[in-house]
Amino acid sequence: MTRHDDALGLARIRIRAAWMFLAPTLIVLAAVAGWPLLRTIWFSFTDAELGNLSGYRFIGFANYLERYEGEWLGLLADPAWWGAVRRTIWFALVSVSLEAVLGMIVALALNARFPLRGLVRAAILIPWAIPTIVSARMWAWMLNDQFGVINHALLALGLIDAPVAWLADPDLALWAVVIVDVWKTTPFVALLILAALQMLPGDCYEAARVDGIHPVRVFFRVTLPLIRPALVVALIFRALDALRVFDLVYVLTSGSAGTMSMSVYARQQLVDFQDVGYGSAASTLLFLVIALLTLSVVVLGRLRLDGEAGR
Amino acid sequence: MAGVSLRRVRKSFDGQTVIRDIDLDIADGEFCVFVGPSGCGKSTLLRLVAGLETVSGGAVLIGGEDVTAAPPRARGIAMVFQSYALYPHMTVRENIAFGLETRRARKAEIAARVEAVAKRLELEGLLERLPKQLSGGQRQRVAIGRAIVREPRVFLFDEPLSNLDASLRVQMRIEIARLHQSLRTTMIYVTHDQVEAMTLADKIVVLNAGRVEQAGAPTELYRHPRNLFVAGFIGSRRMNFLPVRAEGMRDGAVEVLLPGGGRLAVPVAGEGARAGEALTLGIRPEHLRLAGGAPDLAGPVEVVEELGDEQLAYLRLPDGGLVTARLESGTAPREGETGALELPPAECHLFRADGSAFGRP
Repeated sequence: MTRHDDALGLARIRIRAAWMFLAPTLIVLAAVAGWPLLRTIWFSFTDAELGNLSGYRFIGFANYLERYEGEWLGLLADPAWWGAVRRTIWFALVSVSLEAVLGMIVALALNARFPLRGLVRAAILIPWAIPTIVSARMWAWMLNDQFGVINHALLALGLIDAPVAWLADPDLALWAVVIVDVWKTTPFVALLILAALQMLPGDCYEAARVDGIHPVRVFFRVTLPLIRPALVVALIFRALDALRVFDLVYVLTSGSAGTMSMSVYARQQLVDFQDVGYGSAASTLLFLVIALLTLSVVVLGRLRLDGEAGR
Repeated sequence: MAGVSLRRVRKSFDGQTVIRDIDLDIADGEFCVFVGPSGCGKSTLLRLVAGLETVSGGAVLIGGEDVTAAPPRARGIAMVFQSYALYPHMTVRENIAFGLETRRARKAEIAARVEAVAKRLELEGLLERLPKQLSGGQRQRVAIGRAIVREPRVFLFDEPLSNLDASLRVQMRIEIARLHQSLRTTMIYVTHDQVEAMTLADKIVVLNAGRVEQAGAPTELYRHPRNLFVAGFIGSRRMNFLPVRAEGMRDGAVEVLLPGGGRLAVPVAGEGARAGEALTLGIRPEHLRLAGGAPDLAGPVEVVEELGDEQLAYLRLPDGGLVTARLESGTAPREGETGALELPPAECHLFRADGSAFGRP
């Protein structure tokens, strides 16, 4: 064998080793993510029911859209579904925007020097560390219209005259979900921004001080552009989570009172109405909506980044 | 344009005093260099002038006006940082213009001033580049440009050349000297490199442990160091220090006993010197000569360094001390041979046991 063949053999061995190391991950991913996804997509083209998962038949796109006796039926013609889509996107926009602003403020505060900073930094993480189910339950009690501590406090302060039904009032319930989500996930955003802030070059800020540039201007012209990559990553993560929101809504309101998100809608069809085919169609559309939004954010973000780098 | 004065300036961090009662006057248009070993407080002193640190005591005056309590922006200064401190996401043009945009200056005027500065510093072709696309020397020029464009009363430089390689450092040193000649603005320059201090300064301030050891013109410090610290710090080759004993005073000179037994009359103002007192004699390597007749110092040559145009010979003296002599190329004895040196009395310095120097004519 020549040296050349040796080198080729070595490369082959390395590639084989790489596949061997990757194989367990790929198998697990295929089993826990790929298979359920494919099965869900398959079920969305059937009339399967939860009580009888073996006796179903293929019905094409009927779960999505079909014309029956002069009427449009199916998911795409269901106003409840489109309501859930609108509501979920509204929820994602509002909660992620609030988290970005509050996270930024918290991160800037934690980046300053003050006594017990380490302790405060650890304490701020507590909401993020609590399991969502637990914090949702906790907030459900706090927001309870009869026994909740929030109504009690507001009444005592004289800010409201009568107890407010935070989780039952259709005008308030979604806001309540937003507030709990913001409370829970602001620490995550703040921590990612804080990490970016600590990487910033300190002497640039001294140069700006010597040059007499107003701190607000320094924030918008220096700090914000420099931490934007970290901010975009944090917000993409948060937006994906918010679009899939389920546990918070399910525990707080069970999806009633105008808080039904796409995930809650899909669960309701699947479990409560036993309609696996229709629920799978909703899940598949949810998957497509999230995939499209993510893709567009990533593409738009990259285009802007490239535009800047090319200047 | 303005001079800078420090009045009993003191600074401590967490109870640790790093600047001790410094009094200093820097004239309008002067190029003043703070020099000293690391940790001597030179950068802290510059930051006190800038207003990036607040004094613990004393006063800072710029142009006769007390700015002790004024923030950096109100002091009329511009600063060049060791790390350049350029905004990484802004182009060269934006970096230079950023400090101007706040003053409600008109766009056309800002653009004109940026162009003028870019031309002066030969940055014209680089205006649209980002800092990461520039070499170290170019970045330093942008940092200087950002300072110049603001037309400050005083320029502050904090070790601006220490991140550059040796040849670029010499080139930038010349550019900074030229800049001072044409601008005639007061400049304060911090460095640990005594060559930069000697070549650039009108006035050198030698700092050690938070105190001014000596302040004066470069030649003044070279010829008349006030104490052992300054004598050892200033000069491209470290001064030789020899332990000697005072033998007696003759008019205008102190006669000393050299290691190895030789005697030498050093022409210094020897008031207060007592016979038998232990003193230190200082002589720079470049002032030592090969002895023609009876040598003042003699000993085996341990090492000879060949530098092309000159040689450095290291002699071991009878008392165990090492002395360095700078000799003309090809004249030094070989390693292992005995070297014989002559001390020109007029080039000798004499220091008391507390380190202070006897006055030289």
